[in-house]
Amino acid sequence: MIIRKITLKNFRQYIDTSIEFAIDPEKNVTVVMGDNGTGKTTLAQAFQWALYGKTRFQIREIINRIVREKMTMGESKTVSVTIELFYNEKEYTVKRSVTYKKNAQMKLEEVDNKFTISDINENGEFHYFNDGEKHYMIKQFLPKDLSGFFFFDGERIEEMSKEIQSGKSEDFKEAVYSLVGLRATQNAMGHLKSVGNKMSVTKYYKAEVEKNNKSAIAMANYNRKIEELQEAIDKRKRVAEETKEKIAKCKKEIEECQEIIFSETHAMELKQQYEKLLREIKNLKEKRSRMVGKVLLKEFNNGFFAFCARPLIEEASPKIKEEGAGEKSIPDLTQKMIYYLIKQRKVCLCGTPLHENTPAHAEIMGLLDYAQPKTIGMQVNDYRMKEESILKTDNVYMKDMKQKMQDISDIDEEINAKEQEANEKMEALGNTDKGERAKNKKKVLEEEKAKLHEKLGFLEAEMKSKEQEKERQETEKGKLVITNEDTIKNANYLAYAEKLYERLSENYSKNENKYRVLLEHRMNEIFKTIYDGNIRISIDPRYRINVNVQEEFAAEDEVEKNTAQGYALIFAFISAIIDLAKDKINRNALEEGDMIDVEKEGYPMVMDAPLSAFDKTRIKSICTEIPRIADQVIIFIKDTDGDVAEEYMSNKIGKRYMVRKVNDSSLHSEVIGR
Amino acid sequence: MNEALKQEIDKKTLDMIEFGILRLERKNERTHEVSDGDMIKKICNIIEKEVERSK
Repeated sequence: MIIRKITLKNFRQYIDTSIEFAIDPEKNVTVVMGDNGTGKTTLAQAFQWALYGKTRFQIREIINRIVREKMTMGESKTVSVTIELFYNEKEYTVKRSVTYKKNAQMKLEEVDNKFTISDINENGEFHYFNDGEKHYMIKQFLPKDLSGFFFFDGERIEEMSKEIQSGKSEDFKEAVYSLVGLRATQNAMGHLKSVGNKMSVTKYYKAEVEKNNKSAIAMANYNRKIEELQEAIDKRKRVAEETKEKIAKCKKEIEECQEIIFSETHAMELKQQYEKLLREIKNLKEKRSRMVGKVLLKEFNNGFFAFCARPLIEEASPKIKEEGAGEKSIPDLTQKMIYYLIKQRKVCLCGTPLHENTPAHAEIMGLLDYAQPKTIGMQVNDYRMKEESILKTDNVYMKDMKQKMQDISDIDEEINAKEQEANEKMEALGNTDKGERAKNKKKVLEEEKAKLHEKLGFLEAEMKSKEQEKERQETEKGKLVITNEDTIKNANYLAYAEKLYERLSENYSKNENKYRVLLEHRMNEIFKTIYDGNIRISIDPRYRINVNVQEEFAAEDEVEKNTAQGYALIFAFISAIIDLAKDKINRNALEEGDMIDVEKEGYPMVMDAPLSAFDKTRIKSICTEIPRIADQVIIFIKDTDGDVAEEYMSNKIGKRYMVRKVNDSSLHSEVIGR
Repeated sequence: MNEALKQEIDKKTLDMIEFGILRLERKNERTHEVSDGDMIKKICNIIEKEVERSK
């Protein structure tokens, strides 16, 4: 990133100011001089505000105070900083603006806040980047976490200097790791292999392999079960086949026996009669079964209530008749009236007094049982009507049932008669020794055949159950079929991930050490040119920068020495890591397709009052080194230091400016070219 | 099994995987747009793609 121009509107002391910076590689220094209090720091801070939205001002208000005071109620004014820059040979415009409005209480309210990045496309039109792209572009220009090393002022240098002195090194370590690519390797290692519960690539593949191994065990179990089931099915099939053969053999032997029995019988007519009787018995049994199942049971359900109620009715009826309750009801006399006569009037309608414990009172109380709303007589009459209906239904039912039972009984008798007749005919058939033996054998064979049928049924049921179980196991196994291939694949991926981790880990250790030694070497080289070689810098494995001061140098003023050292160290550090990054990127140019090309791109150094802490000799050294280290130098400096800087950098200065107060006001400054 | 598989690792494939992963990590280092979980998925994709391509 090289900065071409900055424009400030209503930003702190600057109402409308633009500065164009030196971008010629041969003359890459821009010097902006000004007295204390003219607004040099504001200019330096404007870069960070525009790019990252942050400033280090103690007073946070950024609007110009004169502009603010002149605003009338309801009036709006916009504060903006625009940076025009080159990145990757293209020009971009970065603009941040905040609009304020004066409210009814004459206080400022922020009403709008914009941040835009644009470039010019092939047709010469402005192209504005969306929010995601803006974030990405800023990271490309110069990541915020590295910005502290490229945009700095006295305060920031002091902070870094203190960090160095106190042995804190995280910022330096981060900067080195980020710029030379170690952070990417470290992140890759963290993603490939992790400790604790954190997920990683190797953990993922291990889990997959483990899962697949479990599946493989499960599949082996399924295979074993399926095999066992198949064996059991095959065994039963064999037995069933044998049973079927036995049944067939039995059947054949029974037929043979039958043949013998028939052949021993001379009367064909008898034989035919016997067969006819068997057919008739079979038909009669079927008819009986139909009558019992469909007709008898259905009608029995319909008349069941009446059938059960009849014995109770027959028991209750004589008793009700005996009591004569039905005849004792009193028409048109209600219980309420009787209560009225007893409790209120205490005299009967006929004039008889109704006092308690008198015969008249007892008599009238007795009448309550027969008075309305529903008298016993009425209830008895209702019951009698129901009883009549039930008995009528039951009579029909009983008659019908008796008839059907009779029919079944008749069929039973007929069956018995025909069976007896058939037996007699069988006895008459084959009534020889041979026939007798055949008959006995046939009987045994039929019993055996029945048993075999029973066994076959049992075997077939078992086979069906085993087949179903086998199908279920095969379905479950089917779900695991591809996992075995996955195990091999995942184990292979895991092997690559682990091997790569080993390689990265080895390279990381080598590179980390190599870059640290190189950084230390480069820092000492640069530091010597700035700080006349009296100090030796060393960097420990935790990136703590140690400064070893020679005795005669240590005797000088401590504060001045430390501040100057801090500045020099930071210059040396920044210079060294830029050199390292360029070196690293040059070597890896082929694999860095999308990386920032540091060699081409370069970094700016924007410095506010960097020379204040140095004496003239060291200023000369720094002024010689800085334009060589950075690709662009923008230096804000006070007049006295500026003259010295200009003297030593004269051949590198491309632009010169002067900051001055307008009308001697500390609220309004301007920048003029020199 | 892993040690045996490691012996069979193709160096060129491993180089390609390393290149792809480091490129991805460098890009994310600047943008921080991808979460750790998604980075792991992307790295797995790179490994699987390169290993399958080498067969």
